[in-house]
Amino acid sequence: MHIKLAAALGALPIAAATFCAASPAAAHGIVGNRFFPATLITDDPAVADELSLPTVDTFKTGDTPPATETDISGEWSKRITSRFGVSFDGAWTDLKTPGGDVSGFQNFGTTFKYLAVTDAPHELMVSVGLEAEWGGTGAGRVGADRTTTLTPTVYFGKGAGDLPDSLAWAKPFALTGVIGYAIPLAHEPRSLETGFALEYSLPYLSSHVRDLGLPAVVNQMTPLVEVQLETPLQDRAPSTGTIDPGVIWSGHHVQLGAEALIPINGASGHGVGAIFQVHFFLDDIFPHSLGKPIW
Amino acid sequence: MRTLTLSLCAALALAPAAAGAHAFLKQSDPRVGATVAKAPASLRLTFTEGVVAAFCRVSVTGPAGFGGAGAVRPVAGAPATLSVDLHGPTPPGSYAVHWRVLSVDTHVTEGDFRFRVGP
Repeated sequence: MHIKLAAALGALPIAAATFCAASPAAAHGIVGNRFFPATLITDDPAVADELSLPTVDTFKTGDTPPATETDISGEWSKRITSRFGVSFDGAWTDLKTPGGDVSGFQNFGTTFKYLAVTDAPHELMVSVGLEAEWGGTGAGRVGADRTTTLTPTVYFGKGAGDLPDSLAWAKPFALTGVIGYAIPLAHEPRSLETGFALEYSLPYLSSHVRDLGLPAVVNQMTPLVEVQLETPLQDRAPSTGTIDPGVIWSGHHVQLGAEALIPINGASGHGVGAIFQVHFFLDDIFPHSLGKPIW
Repeated sequence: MRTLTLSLCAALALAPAAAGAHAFLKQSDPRVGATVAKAPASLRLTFTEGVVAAFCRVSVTGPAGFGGAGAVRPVAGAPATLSVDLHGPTPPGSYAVHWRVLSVDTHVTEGDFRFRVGP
């Protein structure tokens, strides 16, 4: 308490300016009443200072016979301004195949994202970005492509808080999603990368609609279903993807998430996989240094 | 790789000891969405983090005849709690509360909820 009190006193001049000038829509996936948690598979629309580390997933590939793939990945996102940020990601893959085990890094990636629209009354966020996968930076033995791929992407998030009060029970629903057009910088097929997450926010229910008196740990959970799809546009290969039901628990500084990975067809994988993630809110952990925009 | 990951996670897990966070509404009295037989003399809002009362606003609107809400007051010994007096009369009906607060680490958050007075 003393630490917080001291922080409050020391921050008063900053606080006054912040309270008068700052938009609550800035960072952390907050717009109006809505907090969009960081989803595990599809990127959320927020521009934020955050770190996903580690994200661990395991599943059986769509190969015949299938290999068991395990990935350990991380992503660091940094705000340059309150609305523009850059992210760096990487993943290490272990493949257990009938012919033996191979492992190595996937291609490293960089994402530039600009938060273009925030509408607090309608709990709406829209961002535009460019995702780059740097070809040749990973190991070909685990499937890393030698070609760089650029993916212009639109990200959106929409909460249902503007529904009429007669549908109050539905106000905690939110939908986030991404639509990207992947362009390899070589003569390879282009593809459409889409994904969305349908969420039911128990924090929203307890804070803005009806406090049911549930335990605090439950009130911090957001059940969700994510769907990710990759659709080739220039050949007849089938779309691949997964349907991923799970839950996210959002704490003050950290978020924990777990989802099942259910392939949509045989080309997407075999059996049910799983993904787990630890996600840190750097803007809360280091609010006056690493966690604030550079400008 | 595993050692690096564990080390980073441990460092980040320990770092919050001196940090704040966004303040979200944790609980209110009356409860969010509740119906109470009689309006309380004051409204209490408890947040997930300490807030700077001097830079927090809470507005309450109610049915015709409602006497209005007073200024935001801190609650002694409870840095995450704010109190707002409800001036009489407080007739039956729906009351809308809008809060906008500044957490001790200078993050601004806001939100709305309703409660009802009456049968």
